[in-house]
Amino acid sequence: MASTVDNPAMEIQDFDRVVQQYWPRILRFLLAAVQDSDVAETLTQDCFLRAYRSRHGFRGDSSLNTWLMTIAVNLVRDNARNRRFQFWRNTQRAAVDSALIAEWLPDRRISPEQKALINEQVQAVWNATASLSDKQKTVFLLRFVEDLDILEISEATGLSESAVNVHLFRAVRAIRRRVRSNHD
Amino acid sequence: MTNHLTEDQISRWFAGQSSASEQRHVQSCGTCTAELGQFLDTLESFKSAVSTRAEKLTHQATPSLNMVLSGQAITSAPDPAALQQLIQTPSLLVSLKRVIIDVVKPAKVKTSAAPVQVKELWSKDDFRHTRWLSLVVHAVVIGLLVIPPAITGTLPSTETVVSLYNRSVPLILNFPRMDQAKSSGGGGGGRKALTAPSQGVPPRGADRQIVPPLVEVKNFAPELVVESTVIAPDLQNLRPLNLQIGDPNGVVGPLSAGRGTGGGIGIGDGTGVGPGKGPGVGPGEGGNTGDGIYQVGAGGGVTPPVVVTQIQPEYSDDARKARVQGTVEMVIIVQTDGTAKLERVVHSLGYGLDQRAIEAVIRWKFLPGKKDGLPVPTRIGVAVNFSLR
Repeated sequence: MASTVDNPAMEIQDFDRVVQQYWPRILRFLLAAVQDSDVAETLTQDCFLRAYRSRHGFRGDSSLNTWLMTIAVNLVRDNARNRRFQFWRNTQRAAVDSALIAEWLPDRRISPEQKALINEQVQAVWNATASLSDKQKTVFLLRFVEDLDILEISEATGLSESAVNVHLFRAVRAIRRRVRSNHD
Repeated sequence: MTNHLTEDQISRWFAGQSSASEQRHVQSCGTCTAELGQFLDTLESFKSAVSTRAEKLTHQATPSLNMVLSGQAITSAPDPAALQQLIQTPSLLVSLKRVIIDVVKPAKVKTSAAPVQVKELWSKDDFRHTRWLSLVVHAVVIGLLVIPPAITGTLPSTETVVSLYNRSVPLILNFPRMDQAKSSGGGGGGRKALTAPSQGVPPRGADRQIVPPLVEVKNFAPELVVESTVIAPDLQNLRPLNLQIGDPNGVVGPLSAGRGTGGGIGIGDGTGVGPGKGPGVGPGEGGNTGDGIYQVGAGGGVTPPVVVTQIQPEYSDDARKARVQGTVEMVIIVQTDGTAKLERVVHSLGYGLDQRAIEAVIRWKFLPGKKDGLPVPTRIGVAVNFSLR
């Protein structure tokens, strides 16, 4: 992204490259947000399709990354709304995906004890994320997974900066509480 | 600041909202730094775990614009752990949920090893067939709602034919009221008994009377057997056989010829049966049967009543829907003022047709029947024929 970030309006002309470049990021965010790899892939595809269709409307006011994130955030919200009544799906996919999370960790050549500990913590954060409210979850993931700053988060979510700050603080506190209770 | 950071302060630090003093404390305090560092590591691990997973998914198919636009499903390589999860027998609840899902949202593509043609992911749904189906279903439903009332509305091409006739009413256990030979008549009797006449049937009607009716047989071995009769030729066919002879309107009780006089049965006078006078049966006078209302008949000298105003009975809705046809027969009495009075319905059809027939006939106006130039009440039968065309 670094090479083309100074002119996002030009960057979007080569949409094929945009897809290749941003696909993993969007997928990463959506994966953490919906916690279901199938849905995340579908939503990622949907996200890029929407972006492609409305690419002429993108004037480069914000970075392309933020713009795509905005679409992704909206998709997550729609998805949550559509799935509100499909409670059984929640139980099913959580059972599958959270069990797999340990294998995602890259091999860092660390001791098995450390690995177990990290796995446990990651698992705890993962579970804690699922229990957050939609806004808190989105803000938290954009901040700590996508490394967006407050301004960008505010842009992507449509929330004011102070609102983002409040959601972020509450999300961190809730996650820390969950992780610590898990640890103790 | 000697105290370590509180939980809220740590959270605020992660949210990038810590104050300058808190930041200074973190720089100087090893415990707090370690605490922050540990959670930072956790967050990093989380991020890296999610990134790794996302990259793994991405590497299974290189994302491209074509992929986005063609809508080809990204085929993930089967995950061994996920497969394991699938193979494991699901719990009862999960199985139940799957069954429900299968019923509520049946799979559009059946699971099979062979390649299956599926429609394009972003293609528009084809609603043409459903649209036509919907149209037809709506048309049928609306038609069913609208057409039946319309049919019943056009059904009633009906016809009612009313005819007057003279009717001899068969008598069994009631006063004979008809008179064939004479226009009127009746009889009465009694033996001045203290009790009311006992109930029974009149003796056989005949054209002459030798012995008046007896309620009690006194002589069981008469030398000459003579049947007791009343003078009522239209009752000739009535054979009471072994039934008790008595007054049809009498009381159930001890055998009695009644308070009347003359030797008959009842409260009248004469050798007949009933409250009248004479050798006949009933409330009239002079023999034969009757109650003082004239029956138009042969030789009676009574002219039949003539209809002046006729109102046609209407079909009832129920009968029209049920497609009932037939004849309502009734007996009316045409009074001297020309009005009709229902005596009884002889043959009923139901479905409200009787009521319609009565309502109409009651409102008719007649020229009353006459005897010797004077209007007399006459009894006639009315048959109202209801028919659908």
